[in-house]
Amino acid sequence: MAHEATHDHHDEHHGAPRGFFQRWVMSTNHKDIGTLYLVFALLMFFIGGSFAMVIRAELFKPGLQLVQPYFFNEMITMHALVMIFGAIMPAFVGLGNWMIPLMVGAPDMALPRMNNLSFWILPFAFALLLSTLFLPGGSEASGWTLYAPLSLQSSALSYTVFAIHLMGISSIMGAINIIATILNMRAPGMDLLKMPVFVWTWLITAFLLIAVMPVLAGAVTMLLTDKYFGTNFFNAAGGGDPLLYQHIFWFFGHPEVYIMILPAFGIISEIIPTFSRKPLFGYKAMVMATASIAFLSFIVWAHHMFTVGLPMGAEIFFMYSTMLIAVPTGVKVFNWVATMWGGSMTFETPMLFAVAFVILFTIGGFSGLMLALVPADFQYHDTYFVVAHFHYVLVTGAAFAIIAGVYYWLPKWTGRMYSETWAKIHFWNSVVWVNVLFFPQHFLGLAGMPRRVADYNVAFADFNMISSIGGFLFGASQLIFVGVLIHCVFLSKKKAADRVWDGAKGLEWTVPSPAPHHTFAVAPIIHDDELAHGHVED
Amino acid sequence: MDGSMPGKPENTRATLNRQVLDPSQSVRLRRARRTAMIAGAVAVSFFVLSIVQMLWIQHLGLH
Repeated sequence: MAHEATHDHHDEHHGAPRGFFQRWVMSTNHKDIGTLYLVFALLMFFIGGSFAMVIRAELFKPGLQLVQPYFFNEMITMHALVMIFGAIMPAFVGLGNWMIPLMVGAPDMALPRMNNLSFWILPFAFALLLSTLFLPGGSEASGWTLYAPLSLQSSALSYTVFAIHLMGISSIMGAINIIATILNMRAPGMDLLKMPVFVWTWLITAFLLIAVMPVLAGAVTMLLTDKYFGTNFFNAAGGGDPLLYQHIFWFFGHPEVYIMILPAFGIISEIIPTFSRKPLFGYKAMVMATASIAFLSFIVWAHHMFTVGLPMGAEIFFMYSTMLIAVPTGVKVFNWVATMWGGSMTFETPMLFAVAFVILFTIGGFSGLMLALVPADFQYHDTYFVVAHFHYVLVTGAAFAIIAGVYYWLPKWTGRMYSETWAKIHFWNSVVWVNVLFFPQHFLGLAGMPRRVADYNVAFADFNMISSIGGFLFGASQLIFVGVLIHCVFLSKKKAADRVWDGAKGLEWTVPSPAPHHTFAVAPIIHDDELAHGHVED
Repeated sequence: MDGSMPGKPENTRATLNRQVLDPSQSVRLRRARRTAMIAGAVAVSFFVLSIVQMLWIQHLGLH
């Protein structure tokens, strides 16, 4: 059966290197590098979160309380850059590193040494980025978009651009590795349309990364040459055009949004069938919907720029193309609901986060549809409505999916069960406070409160205070998560079974818990019934 | 199996599915390195193109 067919009995003879330096700094093992990515992402999550606490503390009351406006803008810039490039993206790469080889029956990533380099670039990139906060002129304060000409005024531009180049190189190398692994290292029998949905979503995400990270690199390189080498790409006085920067940035920026959500869709598509004890409803439709969303992401960028004075034809095109994204996204949401429908559902913590994801991400999707409407967007643009929208997508969407994935696979990684009680306490605190934090921001936006300001009209005071209280408690709730992780990794006495969840299917559950340092050294022969999606009809 | 694997590959998916039947790790890794080089070349070309198109737009005065 599955176990005999896939379990490599020689695994135990090849353990991890004993020395700390050898194991963690020189590592070429996909599991160790995955762990490094996840630990790094958690650290960045708290650093970016501490910036968010400064923002919410300043906005607790009208007037300037704690920080000066320029520092406030440094905080919003760093919060976004750290959370996007330091927390969300590395967390997905970490999960991909850990799980993709296990899911496709590969012994490791295709290019293990490049994998090591991809990770170890990141700490230097973020050390450089964060060090700009201590420069005499401060860090970049123009928002994560680094719009010209505002971003050109900062003396930290060159450091920020170099840090973004490093992050981009790391992401591109990670994407290349994932593509090479999935296309070439699958075990015999793991046909493309039998791969787990998480693997599919990562494959498509990796193509997006290859396509758009170089465009961001190009955009910030032109910022650099405008500031230091006398070019005038974005300088109106020299014959350039600041709007060109916005076009090229958002040609990267919108697919970037999907880079942060497609792997989340994959995680949720693994968890819901497991805890519903049913196969995923509409496997092929899920794959096609993922590919459709990826394609559409390239033709919607100007919906971020409706108010800059685009021609009417362009506004109509980008409005309709944006609304079209609701179709494949709706397919996904309905398929998740259909998977749960009639299933023998249980609500362990991964499932709780997955169900919360489906509901709350859909709220973020609906507010996205509202923003897609040109006349409405003229009202919402640059208000807290936008902030509420993308935090519903990125926090209750991407971050909740990452947390769900960590709870789902943690017993496989560590060989121990986490505390279900404390994990549920973490869940309920998170889901309550995240809504207290972000839901009032819809009302603030509709009432006209602008983004990226340290002070505001007293009319917005109450909702801001509620939002800040939600923010502090949501931040504090994440300390419970750290406690659950530390307890599971170092203290838990409860051993995990090989197939941790009784409804779980897929190759990763056929290896022992904890997963041995080396798995599938000899490519396993896989039979359809061992796969989560083994009976897909052509 | 999905029915498209045996015999002459009629599409890209069938080719990719057939390739993984080769159990030799060295062959797989050689193919993976080739895939990586192609993907890397695409990334570099996108970087260059993003700057070249800006120069082109400015040259034509389209903005």
